[in-house]
This record gives sequence, structure tokens and C-alpha cells, in this order.
Amino acid sequence: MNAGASRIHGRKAADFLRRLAGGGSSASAGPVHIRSHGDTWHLLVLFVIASMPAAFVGMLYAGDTWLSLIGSADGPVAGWRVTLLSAAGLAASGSVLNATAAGLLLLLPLLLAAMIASIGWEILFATKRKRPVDPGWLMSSWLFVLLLPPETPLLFAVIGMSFGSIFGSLVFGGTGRYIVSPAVAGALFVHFAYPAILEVDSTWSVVAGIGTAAAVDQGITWWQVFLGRESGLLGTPSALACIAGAVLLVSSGVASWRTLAGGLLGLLLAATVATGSSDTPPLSWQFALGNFAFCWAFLLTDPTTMPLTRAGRWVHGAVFGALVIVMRSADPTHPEASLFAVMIAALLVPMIDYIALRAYRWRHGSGLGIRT
Amino acid sequence: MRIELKHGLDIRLPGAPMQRMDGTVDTTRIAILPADYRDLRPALAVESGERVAAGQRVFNDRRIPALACTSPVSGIVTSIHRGSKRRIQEIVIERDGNAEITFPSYSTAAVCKLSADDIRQNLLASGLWLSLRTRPFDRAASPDDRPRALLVTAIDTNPLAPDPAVMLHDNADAFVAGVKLLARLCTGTTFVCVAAGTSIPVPEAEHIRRVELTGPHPAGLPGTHIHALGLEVRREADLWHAGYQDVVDVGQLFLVGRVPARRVIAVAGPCARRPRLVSTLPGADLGEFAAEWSEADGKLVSGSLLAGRGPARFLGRFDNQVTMLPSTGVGDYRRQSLLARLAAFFRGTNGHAAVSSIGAAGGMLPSESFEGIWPFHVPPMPLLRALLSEDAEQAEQFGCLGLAEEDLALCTYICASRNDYGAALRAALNAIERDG
Repeated sequence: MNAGASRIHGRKAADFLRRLAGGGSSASAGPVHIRSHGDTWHLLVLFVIASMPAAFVGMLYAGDTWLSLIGSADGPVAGWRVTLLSAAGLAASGSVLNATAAGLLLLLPLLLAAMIASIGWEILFATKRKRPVDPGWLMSSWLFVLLLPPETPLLFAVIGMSFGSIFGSLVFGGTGRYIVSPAVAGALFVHFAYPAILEVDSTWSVVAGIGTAAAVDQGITWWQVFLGRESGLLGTPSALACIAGAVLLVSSGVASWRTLAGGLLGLLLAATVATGSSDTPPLSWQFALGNFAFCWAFLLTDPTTMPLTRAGRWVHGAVFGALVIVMRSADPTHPEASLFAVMIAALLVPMIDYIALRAYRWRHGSGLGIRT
Repeated sequence: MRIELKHGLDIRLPGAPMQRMDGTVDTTRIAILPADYRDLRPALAVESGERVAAGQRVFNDRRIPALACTSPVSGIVTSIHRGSKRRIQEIVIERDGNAEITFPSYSTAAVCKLSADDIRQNLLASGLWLSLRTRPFDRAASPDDRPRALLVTAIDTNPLAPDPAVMLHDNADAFVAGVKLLARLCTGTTFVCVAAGTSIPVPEAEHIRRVELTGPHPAGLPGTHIHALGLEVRREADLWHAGYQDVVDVGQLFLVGRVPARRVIAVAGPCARRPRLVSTLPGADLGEFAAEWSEADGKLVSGSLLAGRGPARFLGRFDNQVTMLPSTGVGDYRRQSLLARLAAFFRGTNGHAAVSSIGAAGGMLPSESFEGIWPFHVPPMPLLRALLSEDAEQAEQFGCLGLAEEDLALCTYICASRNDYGAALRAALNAIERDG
């Protein structure tokens, strides 16, 4: 291949990447000749960046747990991962390097499979509809993979991502138009269609299953759980990393602090009511355990499902927080309470907005008035 | 009366103009652009090659023949450019000679005693009536109507805008006379909207009120003023507004008896060699401003970067500034490293920087920043979403009637999904007018 041909290939690859980022047409005929930094692609990339710490911690725990189970009865079957790690001498558990390598081997194939599935559907729909490619594929496939158990078969990831992309997003018109985040739709689909892939499917949290008091007796502290001890799904172990991500999203203006504050408020109120009744864990544990923090930081804040009014954002978050507690208390055997809560809260958004707007109209009348 | 705006955005761009008159650019050609008058349908009164005098009628509206547009200069009509559907785009006039049509002139004292009918007749004959625009719909006022309120906009908060006080300092008499004359057309109050603490003179009269505004950008737009003053917006286009230069023109017409032919504009932007205010002709050929720019092939915008026309060849009728954007864009983020982009992303929402990179439009993504730049009570996003989904009824309920394209320009500017809310608003206004 000569230099000219490779340059053409390079340009084609660059064009393809630009197309995936939603680029293409850039002419503006309108009267506004300048636009602020950060288009849809940037916004969604910020979500990926913000959830990277959570993904890294989750990957470490998944990798370490997986390594420690090699050879045991219910451990991973000997496959290419084990062969590869043994050949590289990284098969022993207990070291950060080994855990990282194992975690990457678990995460990357899943990510690749999900990305290929979602890019494929995006391109198909974009071509059929003669529209630019919707840039939502990156965020949805990334968050979707973080919501999977580490050892999900690749085929399941492809099927789940396809469901999420098509029925979660593309049939509604893509980013900015869907009702429930495609990552949530896809992950819930996988959890329901193939419950066997979940590590624990009889309780929403092992720690909560044995009771927090008993857990403390066994030497499990709240701080351990907060920093990341349970390895359930790939991205969800560390509540601290999720908080860091939420701070990044809010400070960059992508996520609404009202939604997040509303979520904590809902959790607080519902947990206060629920704690008295049964053996449900106290509030601080509710936040740290399970996948609440992840769903709160990265799925509840999805800009597409954000309510259009400020009051609506508070309510949206509060509904989510309260629903998580209600579901965990009412049916502690299912692990996806937070995912469900995100979905139901998102479905309620149009109604919340409707009511909030009626309230605005009632307070301020029909015309526009100045805020002072 | 003083109104303080808390929400809005001042976009900071390189090349802000020095607020001082410095030089004159008298171009050899000017053009009249019928598109400036929105939905006026011109019936030409001149032909290509014909000689016109300053103040002579060039075209009038097919529907309301009394609405006439006149030539601001004496010269020869060199060409008439038509676009699709033979719509007239430019009527180019080459300056030549000093022929001019004179109109009745009055002393400063006599001006105040003129009847509304005399004023109307004189404005229609001279073509200056077209400087009066209405809300809702933002188009030329009808000669048969009398406005419920008139707003004179003598404040400009657009990025890189000229300070009206500089121009009005030299034309104080004409401005005061113009305000008094226009106030006589109005059945209600005439509001003169100025920046707080400015030296702009406002006549003392019962029906004329000085409104001082402070705050970031939308503070200078008539759409903001109407709502800040609590004026009720009705379907009838009975709220009028006029720009300060047009009011000076009206004053000049009655004091001197000639159609005035001067505009003070800001020549500014990242490419301007000496960003400053210059005096030029209405509809000036922007090609003759080449010496002002440091770059040859940038995008020339007539009007503000938030509400301008570009690439432009001639100065627009209501434009008070000319800006050239570099061909590379202002800090085009696609050329920067990821770290720089992230840093810029954080800065961008604070209004310290801006770019001119425009991608394809997608579904609207709500974000808190919309509320930060929105000066009104009613939340912005329900209105914006109603506009995008072409739901004119909802949009009217959320208050779109009193707005024009420029009022939503900041929303378009910060929108991550790259939608043009101005165009959507115009479509909704057209639908409201068509379907009643």
C-alpha cells in the first residue's frame, strides 16, 4: 500500500469517527453565528469520564473476586481469560496489578460487544432515516456494561444492548427524545431474561441479607461498603466513586444538582419511615449498599430524562429515592430496585412537568414576567 | 423607573469596539434588502438603470401600498438581484449626484405641536415608517393602527455592540424630537429604554417614561423590555418598538426636511484591525470595509453574532454592528486537546468564551444552564420543547407571542443539541397568525 492510499484510508477512518460523534453537517443559516462549547457528544462523553472512577473500582473488585475463585467449585470455568492470565503470570489474586488485568479482561470484551451492537443499530437507523448518527451510543453502551455482572456472556450483552438501543432509544428518535435511558432498559432486560448470570439473585445485597448489625459483627464496616466492598455489578461497588462522578457532572453543568439533592431527600424521608418497621438497614447503609449510588449519579441524571422545570427536578429525584426504599423493603429478594426506580421515575417525568407547569401558571399568570 | 435583570449571559469575545466615533466609511454602493422588513412583499417602483433621488420611493408593499421604502442616497439603481421564486433580495444603488426630495421641516417648538396624522403622513412618504416594528410578530407596523405602547430601544447589550450613548451624544436634539414625535402616534405610554447611568437625554413629558435597565444580555432587547414593564401581549400587533438610530432619523426628517443617510456602526470582532465605531451609510456595501479586517476570507456578519445575517454583503436595515468571524471559528474546540476542551467546557457556561462550531441538530437535551440565561418567570424548556415539536398552541400558552428570534438567541447559543429555537419560534408565530 502506498502513502496516498493509506492517507485516504486515514481520512475515511477520521470521517467515520466524526460521523459516530454526530458530526457531519456544520453549516448554519440561522441568525446565531456562535455556539457555546460542548455539543451533545461532549455532554455524553462527560458522563463516561465521570463514571470512570466507579468503573475502575468496580473492575478491580470484579477482577480480584474472579481471580480468587479460579479453581474453586463455583469459580470461573477455565477459558481463554484464565489461559491468558496464567501465561502472563497474573493469575494469583490479591495484587492490584493482577486484579486490574483480570478486570480489564472482564470489562473490555463486554464493552466491545455492547459498543458494536449499539453502533450497528445506530448506523442502521441513521442510514434508513437519512439522519446523522445519534451520538448516544457511547454513553448508553458504557453505562449498560457497568450495569452488567462481570461474567455476563458476550452474547447476552449484545442482545441486551440491542434491546436497549432499539426499544429504549432509537424507536423514540434517539438522544434527547427517549423516555427511559437505553442503558437501564437494556440492563433490566438482561437481568430479567437471564437471571442466572447474576451472582446473587435472592437478595438485593449480601450485606443487607445478613443484616447490617450482623455484618458489623463480622467486621464489615460502613466505610468498607462505602468505598466499595460488594462486587455485584461491574460499575456499582464504590459509592464514593459515584459521588465523585456526580460532583463532576454537576460542576460541569450537565447534571442538575436539584435532581441529586431530591434523590437524597427522597431516600432520607423514605428510610426514616421504613427503618422503624422491619429489619431494613439504616439510611447510611441504604446509600452505600447495592447499586443506589450508581443509579443516582449516572442514570437518574440522564439529561434526556431530565424534567423541564426546577420543581420537577426535585420531585423526580425524590420519587426515585423513595421508590428505592419502598422496593427494597417490600421485596428484598430482587437486586434491581434502583434500576426499577430510575425507570419508574423517568416514566413519571412528563406528569411531574405537567403539574409543575400548572403550578407556575397559577402563581404567575399566563404572560411572561421578569425574574428579579 | 429602574429594572434589574439577574439572569442572562454576556458572551465575551475578542475585539470589543472602542466606544468612540473614529472615522467615516462612505461606500460607493448601498443596497436595500426587502428581507429586512420580514413579510413585506415589494412592488418595485424603480427599474434597473434608473436614477433615484435621496428620499425617492424604491418599492412599496403589495398588500398595504402606503408602506413604502425609499432610497437613502441619490444614485443609479445598478442591479436588482432576485432569489428563489423571483423574490427580490437586493436592490443595489450606486451613489451619484446630490438629487434629493425634500419634506416639510419644522422648528423644535413646532415639532411638538404636530398632529398624529401629519406625523404619520410624513413618515409614510419618507419611508421612515418602516422603522416602527410590532410585537407580537416583529414586523412592520400597520399605518392604520395606533399602538398601545411604544418602546424606544436605546440600550444595546449584544456581544460587541456599540454604546448608543456615543451616537446619541452627537444627535441629542434629533433623538429628543424623534421621541416626542413618535409618542404622539401612541395612545398609551412611550417608554425610552436606556442603560442605567447613561447620559442619553429623554424628554420630560406626561406620556414618556425613562426606563433604566441593568444586567446581562437580554436586558437590551425589546422583548425583554415588554415583559419587564408588565405590558400584556395580545394577538393584535399593538405594541411597537423602534431602535435609537431610527428615532434619530425621524427627528432629523422633521427638523431638517431630508431623509437622513447616516448610520453609526461598530466594526468589531476577532478579525477587526481597529475595533471601533464608524459612521457609514444605511445598507452600505460591506465589501468596501475590506481594509478593516485582518483576514480576507472570514465570515462577515451584519448585526450581532446572536441575531445577525451572514455571510453578508450589505449592512442590514436594523443592524448597528458588523463583525467578522475568522474562517477557523473562534477557538474551534475540535482542534483542541481533550484537556483544553474540558477546560473550555467548564468556562463556556460562564460566558467567558465562545466558539463558532456548529454540529448537526439532535433531540433537545435539557440542562440547568437554560434557566441561568432565561430572564422570565415561566421556565424556558417547556416553551423550547413546544417550539421544537411544532406545538404552537402550547408555545402560545408558555408566552411565545411576545418574543422574537433574538429573544431566544441565547438559548440557541448554549443549546448542546444545536437546535435553532429562533427558526422554530418564527414557524410557531406564522402558524398562530395563519390559524388564528
